[in-house]
Amino acid sequence: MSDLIATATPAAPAAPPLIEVENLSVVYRSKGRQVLAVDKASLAIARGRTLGLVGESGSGKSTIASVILGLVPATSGSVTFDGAPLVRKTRAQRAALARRIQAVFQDPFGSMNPTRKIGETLGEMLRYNLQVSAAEVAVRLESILAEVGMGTEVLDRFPSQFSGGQLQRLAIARALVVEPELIVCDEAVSSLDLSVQAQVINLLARLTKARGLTNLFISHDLSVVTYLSDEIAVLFAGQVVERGPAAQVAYHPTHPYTQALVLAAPVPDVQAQAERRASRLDRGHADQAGDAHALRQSCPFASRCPFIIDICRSERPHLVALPSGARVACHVNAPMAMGVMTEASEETGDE
Amino acid sequence: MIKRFFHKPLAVISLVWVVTLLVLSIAAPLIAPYGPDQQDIMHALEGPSAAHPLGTGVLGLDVLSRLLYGGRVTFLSTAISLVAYLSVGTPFGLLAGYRGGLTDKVILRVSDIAYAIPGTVIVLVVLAVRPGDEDAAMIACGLVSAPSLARVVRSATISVREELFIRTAVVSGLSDVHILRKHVLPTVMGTVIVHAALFATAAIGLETGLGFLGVGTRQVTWGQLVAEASKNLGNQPWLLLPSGFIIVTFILAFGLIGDGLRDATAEGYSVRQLPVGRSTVKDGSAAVAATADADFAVAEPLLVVDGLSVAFDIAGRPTTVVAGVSFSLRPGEIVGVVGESGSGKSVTIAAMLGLLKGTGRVTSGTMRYGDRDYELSDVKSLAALRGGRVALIGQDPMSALDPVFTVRYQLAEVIRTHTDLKGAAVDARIIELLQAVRLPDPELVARSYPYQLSGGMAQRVSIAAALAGEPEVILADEPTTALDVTVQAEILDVLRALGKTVVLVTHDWGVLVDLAERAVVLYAGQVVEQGSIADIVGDPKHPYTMALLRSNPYFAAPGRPLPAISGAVLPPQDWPAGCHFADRCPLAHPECATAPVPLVVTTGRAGVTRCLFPEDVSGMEGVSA
Repeated sequence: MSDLIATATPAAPAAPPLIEVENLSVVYRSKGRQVLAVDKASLAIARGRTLGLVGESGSGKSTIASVILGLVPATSGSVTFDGAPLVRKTRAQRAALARRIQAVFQDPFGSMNPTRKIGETLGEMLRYNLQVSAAEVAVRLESILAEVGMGTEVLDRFPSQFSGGQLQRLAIARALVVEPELIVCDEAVSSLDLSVQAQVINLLARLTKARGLTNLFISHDLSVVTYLSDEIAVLFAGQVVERGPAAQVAYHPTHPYTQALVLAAPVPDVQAQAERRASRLDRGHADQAGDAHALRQSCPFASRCPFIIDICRSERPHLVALPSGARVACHVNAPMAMGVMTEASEETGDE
Repeated sequence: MIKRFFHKPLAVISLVWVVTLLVLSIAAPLIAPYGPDQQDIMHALEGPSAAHPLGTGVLGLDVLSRLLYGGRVTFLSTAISLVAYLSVGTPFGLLAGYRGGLTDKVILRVSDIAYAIPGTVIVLVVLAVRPGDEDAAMIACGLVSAPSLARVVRSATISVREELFIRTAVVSGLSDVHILRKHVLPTVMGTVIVHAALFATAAIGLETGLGFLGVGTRQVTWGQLVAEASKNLGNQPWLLLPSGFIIVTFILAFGLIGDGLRDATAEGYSVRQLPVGRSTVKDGSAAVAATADADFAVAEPLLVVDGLSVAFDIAGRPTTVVAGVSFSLRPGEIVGVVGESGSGKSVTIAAMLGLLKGTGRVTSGTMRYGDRDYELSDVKSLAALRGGRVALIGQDPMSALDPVFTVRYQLAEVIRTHTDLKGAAVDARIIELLQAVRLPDPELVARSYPYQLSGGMAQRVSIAAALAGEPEVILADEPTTALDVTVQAEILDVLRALGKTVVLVTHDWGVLVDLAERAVVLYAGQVVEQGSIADIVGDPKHPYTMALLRSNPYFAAPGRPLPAISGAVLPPQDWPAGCHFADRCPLAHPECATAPVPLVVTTGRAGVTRCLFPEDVSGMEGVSA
């Protein structure tokens, strides 16, 4: 547990995962149409580790988070938390779980009720869900505020009196004051200014490590995810297309979509960015007319992939565990023949 | 909230008036000179006199006494109907909006049915069944009106339900009742108060009407007094005055109290308290003194912005938010204006277009475009440049396009406004423009409505619209911020290939490096550094630039804290006279704070920096985590 930063070593400690998502599908009904937001996605996070979930808007990142948080029902598949199924819980069971699973959302201004004082918001769950005494609430609030670098004077203020960075610190305090085991950060630093973003990233990293938290860190920003995560899972059209140690996925991406994502993310380094742009333009790109969510029998990335071969249009690729430690769903870059036999082959061979 | 309510003079006067009427009505048996039915037949229908201060009605009934007694009925009736209205309308509205689904459908249908029945008829039916029972009539009135409140509360609740803080509360395992009571209700309270006040005035009106029609209670009411006055309007016009005055002012007062309550509730949590200023300068606009900036303009520029300052009214005081920004562009050059929120980058662009919002105004600054000079405060002459010679690409492509018109229609409109093209030439130009932004099927896109386009396609269309007027200069304000990175990369390719002079406003250093040749770094309303991208990113000469680049996770060593900059950007009203970055700067010396820091030419390269110690920046340490 001391080494929270993933290396390229594929053999993770064999501890059972704290949270495990298996073959999760979520179908939304929108204006009479069915939208497959999450399509047989599987991922797992071992206790005390951080999984970064990346993907473009509409890829299903937030939907997976919502299922874990009990905000959206799973259509099929399972979610297991600490060995027990998580989906289809009653409200009372959910309330008991709330102490163990907490969330930090993207918009700090939206995630605090503007009509209520910070003290009411931060202490709410302790008081009303966990029936902690008022004196004990005060003690715990003071302690958590100190941990996020704020004083108790903030308790009497309203959210409108804080900056985005301060509110996000308070949102983290609210999530951690109940001492959860799993924290879901849904674009938790995305709306912050750069100079403040670094402070909040540091705070999250420090608290995650100090408290041995398991963290599902969702972001569209690959460099933030790479910095904070032990492992990265890449989502495209509701499917996990690549998953593996953070450095492996970010610096040696195997799936064509992950590669496109890495090459498209601009970096503040003149030389490196010129190279990225050149490699990106070299690859060329296929037409983007296809609706990824509509093509069920094919690779979801087929319509945008520059390396497409025949099988991509007729058969959906499954995650294959590669010697690098990554698991990749790609007929071209990770054909079945390249797979190594690990426990991972179970989850790829289920269909 | 109570304190804030008492800061609203109209609402307070109204409250005092209503309370006075209430107290007087309650005390009627004690203070009324006569009983409500006490006749003085000798002085019927008289004007004010010593014996009858407000005159008398038929049979010599004392108007003052009857008004006092009548208030008792009116107050009670209003209160009864208000309780019925609120206690039914609010909970059902909350429930329908929060639960949605079947609950919502059932409540909506029931309220639709109730809606269809005329309220007055119900009230009259109740009175027909229970003659003279005004309490029952007023309850009926409240119940009949409750569905409209339920509908309003429902829509307010639906919009609140989508808020993140409700999601957070659900994630926290809080009960629905708790969430409705503590989170939803306070947020929709403003709406409820306004509607309650409106309903109360309507209820008073109805009660008066019942009295006027003579179908209400047999006790004296204000309405009966009006009815009596109107019957005797020819004999004694005075009679209408006291009762009319009371009713009109009473209704008015209710409305004003409602508004006051609503505002006081909202202000309770939305007032942003101004941080205590560190600056000793009273007027924020004076805090930014002119600096003797080094003259730094490119040779043969197409466009020069010189000394742009912009002020907004913040908490009623004129406050400078952009302070003496200058930069210039060569023809065909892409210059990035980079900064965090509050740096003034978007305000700078808006000022260049004459499009400042709200209280914003240019307090100084000129723009040289080609061979002409423009005062940036002269909004009219800037308007003539817009669309034709200078075009804007905004952050949100969907809001830049009109949802009810096709792409073809919108592009044609711009083309006809700014060029002489007509007929088929316009269509040809549209296709040409859509090809220029690399849309794969221009014909199809031209026929499409904005909602049929993806975000990336819509941004291409809005770039095409910007190009339609054949501008020389394009101002791009965060043109890719709302897009996914893969789409962003393609939009940046499109912008690069245009060959236009572009001012690119961005907060993203990666985007800046990808597209721009030179950069203007803004911090708290000032240019802090300017130079080529390679110089600024590779060897920054301002501590802010350096610290910001270092804090980027891209450069981070895994497992080590990011070298973050402590603190936050000061709000404009707190900008000090000296260096705006001094309070966060690891290199700050005492002299940084004493006087305005001028831009100085960076040694050995074409650039400027607003720092007294530029040579120390490369060895800068101690950027605290």
